[in-house]
Amino acid sequence: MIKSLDVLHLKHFFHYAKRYKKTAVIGLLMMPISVLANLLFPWLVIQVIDEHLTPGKYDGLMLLIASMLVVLVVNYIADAIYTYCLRITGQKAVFDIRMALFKRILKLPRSYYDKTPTGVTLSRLTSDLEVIGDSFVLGVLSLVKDSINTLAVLTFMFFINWQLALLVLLVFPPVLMLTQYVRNRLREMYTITRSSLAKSTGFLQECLLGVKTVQLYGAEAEVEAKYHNYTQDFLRAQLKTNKYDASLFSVITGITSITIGLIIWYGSGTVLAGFVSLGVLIAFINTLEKVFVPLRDFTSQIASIQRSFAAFEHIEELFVEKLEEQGLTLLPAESLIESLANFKTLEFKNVRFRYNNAGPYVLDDVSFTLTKGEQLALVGTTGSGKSTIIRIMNKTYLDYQGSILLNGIELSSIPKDSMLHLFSLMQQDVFLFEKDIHFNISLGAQEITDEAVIDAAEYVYAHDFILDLADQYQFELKNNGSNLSAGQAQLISFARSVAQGGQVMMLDEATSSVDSITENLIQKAIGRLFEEKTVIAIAHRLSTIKHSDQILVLNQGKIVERGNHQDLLAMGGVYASLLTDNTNIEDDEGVLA
Amino acid sequence: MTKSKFIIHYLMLNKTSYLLAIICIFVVNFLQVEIPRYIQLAVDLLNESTLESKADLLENVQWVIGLSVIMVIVRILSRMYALNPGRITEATLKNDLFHRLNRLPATFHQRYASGKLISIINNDLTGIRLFYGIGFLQLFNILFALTLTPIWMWRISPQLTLYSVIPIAIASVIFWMGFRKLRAFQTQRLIDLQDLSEQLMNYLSGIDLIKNQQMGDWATGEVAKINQRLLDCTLKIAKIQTFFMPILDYANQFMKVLILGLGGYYLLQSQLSIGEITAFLSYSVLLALPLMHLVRIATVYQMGMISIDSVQSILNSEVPSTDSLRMEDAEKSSLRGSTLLVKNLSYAYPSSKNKSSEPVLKNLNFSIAAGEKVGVLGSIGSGKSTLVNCLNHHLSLDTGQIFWGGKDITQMSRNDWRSYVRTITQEPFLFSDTVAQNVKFGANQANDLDVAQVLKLSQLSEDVQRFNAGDQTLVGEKGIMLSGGQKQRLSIARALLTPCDLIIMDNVLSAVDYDTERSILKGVFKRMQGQSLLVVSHRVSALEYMDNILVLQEGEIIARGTHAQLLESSSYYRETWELQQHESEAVT
Repeated sequence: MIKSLDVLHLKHFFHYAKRYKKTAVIGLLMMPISVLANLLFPWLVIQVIDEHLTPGKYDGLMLLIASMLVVLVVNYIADAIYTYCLRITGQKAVFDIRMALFKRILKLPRSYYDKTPTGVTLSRLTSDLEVIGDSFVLGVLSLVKDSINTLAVLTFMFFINWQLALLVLLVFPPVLMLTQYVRNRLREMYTITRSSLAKSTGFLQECLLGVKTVQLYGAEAEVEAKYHNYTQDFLRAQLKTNKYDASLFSVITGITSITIGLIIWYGSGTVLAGFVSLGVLIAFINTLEKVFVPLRDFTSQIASIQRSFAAFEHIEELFVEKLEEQGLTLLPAESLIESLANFKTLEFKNVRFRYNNAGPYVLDDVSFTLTKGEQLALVGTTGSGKSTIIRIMNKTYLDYQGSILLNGIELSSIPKDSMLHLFSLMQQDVFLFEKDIHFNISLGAQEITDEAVIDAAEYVYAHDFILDLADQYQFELKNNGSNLSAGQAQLISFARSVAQGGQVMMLDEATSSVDSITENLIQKAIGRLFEEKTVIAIAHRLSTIKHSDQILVLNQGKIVERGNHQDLLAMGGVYASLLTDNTNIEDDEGVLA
Repeated sequence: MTKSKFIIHYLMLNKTSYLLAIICIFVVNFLQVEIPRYIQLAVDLLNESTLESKADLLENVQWVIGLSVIMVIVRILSRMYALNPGRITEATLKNDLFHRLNRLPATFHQRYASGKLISIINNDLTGIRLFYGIGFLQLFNILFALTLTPIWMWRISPQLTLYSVIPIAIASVIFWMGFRKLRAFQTQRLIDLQDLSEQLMNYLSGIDLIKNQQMGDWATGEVAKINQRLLDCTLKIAKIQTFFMPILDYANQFMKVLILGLGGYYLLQSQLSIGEITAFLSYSVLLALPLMHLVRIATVYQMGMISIDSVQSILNSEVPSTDSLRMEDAEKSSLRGSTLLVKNLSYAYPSSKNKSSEPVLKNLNFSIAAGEKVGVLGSIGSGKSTLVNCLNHHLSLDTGQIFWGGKDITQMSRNDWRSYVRTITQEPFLFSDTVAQNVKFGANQANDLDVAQVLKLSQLSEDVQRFNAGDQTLVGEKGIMLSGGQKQRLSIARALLTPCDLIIMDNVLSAVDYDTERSILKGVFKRMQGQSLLVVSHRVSALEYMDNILVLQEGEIIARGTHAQLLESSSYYRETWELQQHESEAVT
């Protein structure tokens, strides 16, 4: 039922649960007490009836009743502590696993995110861990408790009167077989309902999205007939499910009374012969439920635990996913502090790169040098490799061929954390936190003072529009800046890069159009950066390009032309035609050439 | 429909089933209290040793077993009769909702995103199913159990009944309080969980920034905060579940002790028999269980009410009353091949209260006679699509603006109106079905020959022949397997299949090249027999062959005439034409 492979996946869970061993041990210690109390109760029932009620002896009855109450209270406390302690252990382990996974996620390479949809990663951290917290922890808890209790009660029954116990056991196989049979049918029905529900939801979604088409074509009745069929299929399967469910439930509740009848029947012969006392008989009758109800739940508990194994398997995938810098030989961070304190040069020497081993080269034999104070523009059509150059520079992707020297040190041997402070990246896709503007510029860094934030905003001409907002720098951004205009969001992201104080600005210019006023501000901000900073830019605006010291024209991963604006125009090659085509350069001046 | 009418309406849907359910539930509950009585008789006979008593005992045991078997069977029936209506109501409501959604006008669909509607149909209907199923079952179960059990107990010993009800009553109050708290925490937990996933989603989409700016520790801290909140809430829930919720169960045990103690005392005074005590012990269980269920039924009721509200937000949305008008066949056929007359048509989108909205269409006047081909030229934002959506009555219109054969189109049902007019929309919507099924969409009787013909006319046959499965090829969700041009041509084929009087093409040829455009138009002309055509486009080339062309700018008709006339009279038209001539050369 539970494969060994599945059990291997539990090792991470137990690893994290181990920290709460003490709590777990307390919980587990309660187990025998609870079981004992559970058995003591029917034993006391027997005593009350056989020693007092049947012979009609009053003395000591109240003492027995009092001890029954004590047993009850002890049982309640032990039971509650057992469950509570183990649930704490489980939930705290889930808490730790979630944090551990999140920390791992922060260290996973870009290639992981390229191949994994965000939703999948998200569900590992949320729904999969929920399933572990619910199905696994609760499932195992009740399964263990129920099976031990049932076994204990059965043993107790055998001990008291083996013939009666055997009678109870006789009922077991048919009940087990019935539950197994019904569960199998239910599983079949479940598959059917799942697929018919998925189909009907899919169709419903389609029709709602295309409701205009449905109405314009007068096809209401047509789609309704189809939907009706899906609903009908679903209903049919549901009604069958209901039938099996009802049967299982009713048989389990009825079997207790039937067994009681059988016990009395059998007992009627033996009581007379003195084998079984009345007390034992009544105790048996009252304990029966404790035996049959777990029997009903047994298969569903197993199913719920099995469901949780899928979740374990999912999070295991995250645990074994290779981390970014795992297994690489890197220079020790301390040795680099001085040599990487300031940016001097960056040199690409015959760099080749591809995203996977089988794919084509995205960069092919790329060489260039960027020195402090220079501006470098990368120009080319989509897919020419511009963005890849930036991604390799900031170590978003590793495994390049050839050589890249940062201040003369091979990039691949530098730990990522030792070099990131040199670069400030302005991305095309602006990402804003759902916090205020101040935070989005300072990114919570303590060393960036309020003045520094305002300075940065002023530097990129964002200060004025920020002052116009309701709460100015405390204006809360929603939903990745949807309460700002696209251009304003971009300016905030510019201000952020400036505030972060990287010595090299990496600019991935956006192609999306913004309103003309903000566009003007953006142009001015970029212009200022180009005058004062070291910049490497993926440029789309002609004004940006024109002011660069060096322009690299890329085509299918190769540098096909290089030089400044005038040189390249005079050359009349790819660069010149790129400008005339006006496909990539969104600028009125673009057409002038 | 009011809420109570709604509830009663769907209850009456399964009235026979419910009636049988009530009978079965009563029988089950009756047997449930009767069986312990036979056990009691049997147990009391155990100590007798006469032959007669032995026969009696056997008879009682047979009663116990026999009644138990009957109880199992009746209980199965009771659960089927009571729970099936829940499922049936769910399915019926699904169909009813879908029926209503299909008829609600555009204003409704703009207000409710499809995701929200789907969530109502999938999730809220669960609440309703439980209300009409398990809610009903438990209500009657509890009702019968809580009335029958005390009576049977009373018949044995009124005093013992009173004493033993006390702990149960106290426990159920505690249980209730715990339960209410639990519900509050569970709601809180769902919110925490949602916050957590929103935050994680946010960080995951900004993962590059977080990594590059070395904000990992900060992000971890933020996640830890919410994670901690979630953990705290979960532990509170666990505490209530482990310490409060079992209280009723233990009260039941406590009651057993009480019965043994007090009952034992009465027994020694010969007021009770041992069999009666045994029966009493069984009754104690029958009393505790329904109390536990009472809590569950309260939840089901609450959820059901919330769900009914959201379902009613759809069912009570107004379908315009004119949509229920049905035209007589005679009138319907008399209006075939009429003239479309547009008189002083103005349209402004309904706007939020404080903003005045500009009219998008201003005082348009034109007509399309039977068989006439009219073109509308306009740039983006000129009001072209709004005009189309007014003509086909997709948007809600004021009366007295658009007439068909003299009849105001707002005075006929949309369904009737659309049997005259067929719109090929700018964004063709295809279903994830085969090519053929998509062509046949909306056509009641269409044969494959027709399908092949319209595919040919819309210049799609060659493409279709190249597909692996021909016209049985699946087009994927929203037609994702097809190119933009193929989708447009497929939607043209779809419109050509069913005969109608006026075909409106809303900028549908934008994704095909000029040659194909010309061939398609030729195909459409060929198929047209006395049908009128309205072609809306920003490309002059699509309009050259029209009988009459309207030039639309900022919601007004600034010029009209044939292609040749407009080249003379409208500078806007001429300039557009010249610019596009140039473009078309560049493309071909």
